[in-house]
Amino acid sequence: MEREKGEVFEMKNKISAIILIAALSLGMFAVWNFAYGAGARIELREPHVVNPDYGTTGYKFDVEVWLMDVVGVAGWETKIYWDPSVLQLFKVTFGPFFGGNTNNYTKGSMGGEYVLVGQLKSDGTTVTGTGNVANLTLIFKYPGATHIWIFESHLLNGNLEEIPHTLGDSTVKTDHPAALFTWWVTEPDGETPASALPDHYLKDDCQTIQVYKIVWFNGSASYDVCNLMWNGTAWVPDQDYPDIKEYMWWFGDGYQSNDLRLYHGVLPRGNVLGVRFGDPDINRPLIAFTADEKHDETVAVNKLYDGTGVGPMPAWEGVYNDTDASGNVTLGDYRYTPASIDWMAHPAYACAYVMPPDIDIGRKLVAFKSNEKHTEGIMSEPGASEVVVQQYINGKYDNWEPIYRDMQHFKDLGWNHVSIGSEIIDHVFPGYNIDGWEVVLRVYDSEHDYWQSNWRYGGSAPENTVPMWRDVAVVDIWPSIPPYDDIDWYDYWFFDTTDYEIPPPSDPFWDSPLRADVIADFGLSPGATARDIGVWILVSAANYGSVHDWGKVSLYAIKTEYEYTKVDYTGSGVTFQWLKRSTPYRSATSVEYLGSQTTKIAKMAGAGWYYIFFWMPKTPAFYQFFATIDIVDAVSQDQNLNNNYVLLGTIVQACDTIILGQATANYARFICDVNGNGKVGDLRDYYIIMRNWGLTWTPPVQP
Amino acid sequence: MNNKAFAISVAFIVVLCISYFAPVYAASGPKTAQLEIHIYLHPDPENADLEGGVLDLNDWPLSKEWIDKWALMPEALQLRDYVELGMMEVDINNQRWPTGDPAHKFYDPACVKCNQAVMFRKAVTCLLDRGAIVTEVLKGYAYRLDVPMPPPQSAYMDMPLYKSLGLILDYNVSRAEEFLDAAGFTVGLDGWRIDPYTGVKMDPLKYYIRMDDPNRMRAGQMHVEALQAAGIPVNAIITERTVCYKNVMVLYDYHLYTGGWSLSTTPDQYHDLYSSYTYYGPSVGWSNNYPGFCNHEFDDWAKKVKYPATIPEAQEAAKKCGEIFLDMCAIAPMWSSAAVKAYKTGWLGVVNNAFFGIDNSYSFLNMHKTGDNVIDWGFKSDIETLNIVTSEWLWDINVLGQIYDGMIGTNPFNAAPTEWFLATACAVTSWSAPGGDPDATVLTWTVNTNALWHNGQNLTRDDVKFSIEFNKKCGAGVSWNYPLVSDVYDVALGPGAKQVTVRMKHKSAWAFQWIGGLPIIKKSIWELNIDSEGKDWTDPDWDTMCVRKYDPVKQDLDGIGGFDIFQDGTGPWKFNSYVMGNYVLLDANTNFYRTQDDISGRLKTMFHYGAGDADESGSIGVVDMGMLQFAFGTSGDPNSLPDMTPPYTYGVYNSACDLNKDGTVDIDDMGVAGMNYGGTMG
Repeated sequence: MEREKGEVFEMKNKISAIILIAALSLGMFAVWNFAYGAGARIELREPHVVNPDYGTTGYKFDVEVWLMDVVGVAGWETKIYWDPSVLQLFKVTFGPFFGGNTNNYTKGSMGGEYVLVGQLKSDGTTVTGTGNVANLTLIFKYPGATHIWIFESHLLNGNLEEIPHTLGDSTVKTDHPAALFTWWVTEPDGETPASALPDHYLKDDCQTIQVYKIVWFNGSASYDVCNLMWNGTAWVPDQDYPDIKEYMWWFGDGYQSNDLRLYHGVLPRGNVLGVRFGDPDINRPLIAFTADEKHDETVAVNKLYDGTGVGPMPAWEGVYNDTDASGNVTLGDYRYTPASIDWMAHPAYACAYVMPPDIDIGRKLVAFKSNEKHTEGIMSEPGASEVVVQQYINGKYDNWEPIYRDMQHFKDLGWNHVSIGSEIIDHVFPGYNIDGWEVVLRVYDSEHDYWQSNWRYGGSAPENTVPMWRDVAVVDIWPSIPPYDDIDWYDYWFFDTTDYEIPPPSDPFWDSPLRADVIADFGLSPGATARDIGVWILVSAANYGSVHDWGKVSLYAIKTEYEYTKVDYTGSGVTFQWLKRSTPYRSATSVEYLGSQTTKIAKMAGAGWYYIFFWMPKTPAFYQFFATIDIVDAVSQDQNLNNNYVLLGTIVQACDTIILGQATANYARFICDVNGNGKVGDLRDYYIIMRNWGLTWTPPVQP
Repeated sequence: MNNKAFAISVAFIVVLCISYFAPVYAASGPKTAQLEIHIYLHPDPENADLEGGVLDLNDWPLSKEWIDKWALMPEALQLRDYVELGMMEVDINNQRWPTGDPAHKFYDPACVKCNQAVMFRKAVTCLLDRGAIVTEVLKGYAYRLDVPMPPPQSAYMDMPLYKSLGLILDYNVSRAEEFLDAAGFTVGLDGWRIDPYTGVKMDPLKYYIRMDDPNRMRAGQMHVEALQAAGIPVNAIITERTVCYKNVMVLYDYHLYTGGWSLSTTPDQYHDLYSSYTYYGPSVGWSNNYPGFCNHEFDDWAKKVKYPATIPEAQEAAKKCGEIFLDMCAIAPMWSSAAVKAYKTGWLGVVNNAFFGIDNSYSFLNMHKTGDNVIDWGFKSDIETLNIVTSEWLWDINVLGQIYDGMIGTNPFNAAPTEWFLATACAVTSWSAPGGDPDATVLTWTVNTNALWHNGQNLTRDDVKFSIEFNKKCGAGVSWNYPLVSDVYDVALGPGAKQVTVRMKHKSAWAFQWIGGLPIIKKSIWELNIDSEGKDWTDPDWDTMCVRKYDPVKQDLDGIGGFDIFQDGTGPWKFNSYVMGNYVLLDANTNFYRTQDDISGRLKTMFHYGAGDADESGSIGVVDMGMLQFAFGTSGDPNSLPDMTPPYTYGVYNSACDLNKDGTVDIDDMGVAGMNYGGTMG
């Protein structure tokens, strides 16, 4: 860990010149070493391995900065880096070497990845020799290993000239495992199983958005830091890396996972799998193997049962009854599983007494670990028909009974059922949570050390906004009248929050000419009037999701059946209440389709799309607008109903969700087809409704 | 001819040929050919594109999550921090009940309702957990603000005094309840507060929360939760900034709003943002002081902040303003960012402005990267309009600031107004203003007539005179820069051939920066703004609203072909195109009146004297501190040749260390370098 500092050596004062002459007389190659001692050096001490107790995130340790073999030093400075995901700086204290009359300097980086630290003698003196100049107190943020290294160093003599020197770095690591995981969300155009029914709902300004997603978590990046070794230039894995023995998941919603299925029973499957939601074996009792029930070692010689292993048969580890207690596969022992023989080609070798020419004869038999267990009688596979072969409830292992690694038992001897677990696991969250769901992965290494990391799925805090779902919504619908005369834009702009009148269709306003700039902007013919545009309705949509989305936004107007009256209850002239008159204004409600636009809405763009619809109503009425988004699995509706209003003939008014009930049966989709798949009342609609049954919301406040 | 003479002759001929065929000019303008601005509507997708390599730098302070992530990626991204000269605040409508008394525009101490409103505002402020916002929302990357003075302007406030007077309102629910109870807003049976004047549940507060800024959105949500928990009903409207703009700043139809201001280096915001002089409501839409804080005593002090004879006078007046501001609880300032922005590794010459970060005019002039001819800059928000007179949004100004210049500029490392752009000199004298200040300021500017408009014509002093007069004529509500010219008495050409003389009504230490900082516009274009009745700007009845409607990107007033923005501006970048919601493209102005070498040299010097880089190494470290230490306490000629090569000797004056050029290396110089220790130019 040495690096040469390549400064050009310059000496101009008298003393330096004398030293230089002396040095030259001894040989050019030894110039600076002689002048400033046998190799001036800035060095970090010591390499560290630390073992904070679990829960002591914030464990502190010191890295010392030393000047070695320096001569006539008036100042020094280094920039010391580390991996900021592992360490953070707590403080810098200065060592005794420079003594008094010294100015100290420190400056940390905003990213927390380095500190600039240095000292200057303030009295014109210098120091010579070897000594400790500073101590960096660092904190472990998380288990890991990092190089701690020096950049951009200065070693200055009494005239502020650079002194050539070498640098010595340091390393540090913990002996705890690092729990690392990634996550992703399945997409409709990707890997989402068709049967998936993920659920996530978002309340946004009193409206509920329904989104259905499976979230996958992958903890396979976890590793035991203990199994990283410093090879002189980098941290590299040793032979036992990553040495993670257990993955335990909490999803923050009451669900937890851990167990691994080692052997799948009747259906041959490729790999060790974690138990997943929907597995029919969940909560079945797990039975420990008896002393004479053992397995051979064909997948790996590790004294663990490796089940079916990876790859085609016969890479299985067989389960035997070591009847003669010989510790080897011998004639007379009983084979429960097909073992390493292609049993389909040689059925006689499965589920029978061992006999020639079984190639396993003579193999060593290994006792099962205490957390390797099996179920009783039922053998099943998720998604497959249940198959029952020789099921016995007998406290012993029977052929085809699935074998599990009871991960919970690894730390908790009281737990003895099949539970959910894997290094890769999927999860469906039960709904949106304002604070998100805290997902925790805890990993254990072979030394039973453990560490955990967490991450919050969803939630409104900025750090939780990693969007992982499709989440498109109509944000607002703003009706307005077209720009006219010289009125500035904000006078005719969208009537989103204030009561305004829109003239009835017979009003002369509609025949007034549009401004030239409006005509130009919209490509209208000269002399076009306000009627040529009609009501100007801006619809904006947002995509808060993690993927670009596209689909059709359709706008409708509901002509309501009642007339509304604005009443000033308080007499203040400010506080009005809208009341529905008792007599029907019209005999029936009707819904008019105003148009659609197919669009792509960029991901995470907030209100990333808008479109202006033009509509000239034929009759004066009290209208309310609503929009649908034809994006499968995305959103049913998300309009701020405070904004969905226009009254032609008298006054514009805000309304509440009661109005939604006035949509006709033809548009029941809007109200009932909550997942927007074109069918009303399918299972998913029902599921969503049940999910939200009984939930309340606060109606918008009337103006 | 011997060989030597022949060789010399050949060399001479070669030099002549090179001179003839390839005349060497110093390159002018930006070092990169184009500046493309990519428009987003949220910082996260913008940051994702910066990480993905689409962008070269961003425009908005990073959240901690991005900082933590990118600190691990130095091979891809460089992080640079700065102390923001700006603020985020909860604006409170002082002209609407219950946060104000609409019957009293000005605070009246004898008015019961006015005092109830003050107490209500204080309750609202006590329910704003600024500590939690700084630690939990901004993760520590911010400074809490109690008065509208960000850390770079700390000399203009007196926090110890404010604390000793009990004016600082910390998050305190009990105290908020005491204020509410004292104001008569008692708790009803249903848990909601009762309006003392109606006797029923108070009307909900209309609280506009900006959805385009995640930090302000979260802060607003936290505030709403606290208000409602205290029994104050709130109608929280989380929406687009343009909707907020209309309802808050135009219609004044709000109680609370999560606002924000990017401030200038002139600390006159007490006057320009919070005095009654800049509140035009309720009849006129749009005010700088849209909170409508109107207080006679405050106005008097704010005027002194605006028109101080000296900077210490401004500081004293600002401290008094802060006291009244807090006592009246005008609004609730929240934070100023301890901000970090990022640029893509590999770009050279980036300049980190100490108060605005890496995305600034000097960066765009100076940054370059082999093989990359386009600087890709991300915008968190779209622009509204590219009208240099009326534009008020940060993103508009970010674009227009590259196209238009003022007469002076500031040192990006200390904000000192030391840089000449469209002026080459300015003499400051005084005169006796009629009916005004007997010692009012006079500024005689020498105009840089070598500067060219983007259409190739030379800048004239008439353009400068016109720019000042036109902005003044447009007035408040139309000219965004009206506060810069509002105190101008008159403008005259002369006395020199290239000079313009500006007489102010008052003496003000800021006058030089106001006039010098005004963007200069091309007279032959802007004077063609004719109103609907055919009147031009010289007519007393000219309708200034025609300027607000004028769109230089879409109009060709001078009729010479091409939209006006292509002809206008003298700045380093020329307008190319803009697609709403998509991008803005600017081209390097290769006829810019300052050379690349000039800019590079000035940056080095500015960083040297503005930040303390005594050895001009590009960073401030122990060598600079050592040089200052060696020269500490010495005096000499600040114009003498600086010594930036060791060895150095103790006790010898070195002008390289006399950062403020006052002839003495003293604690002021040490302070500058010490404050910037560890800093880099870019």
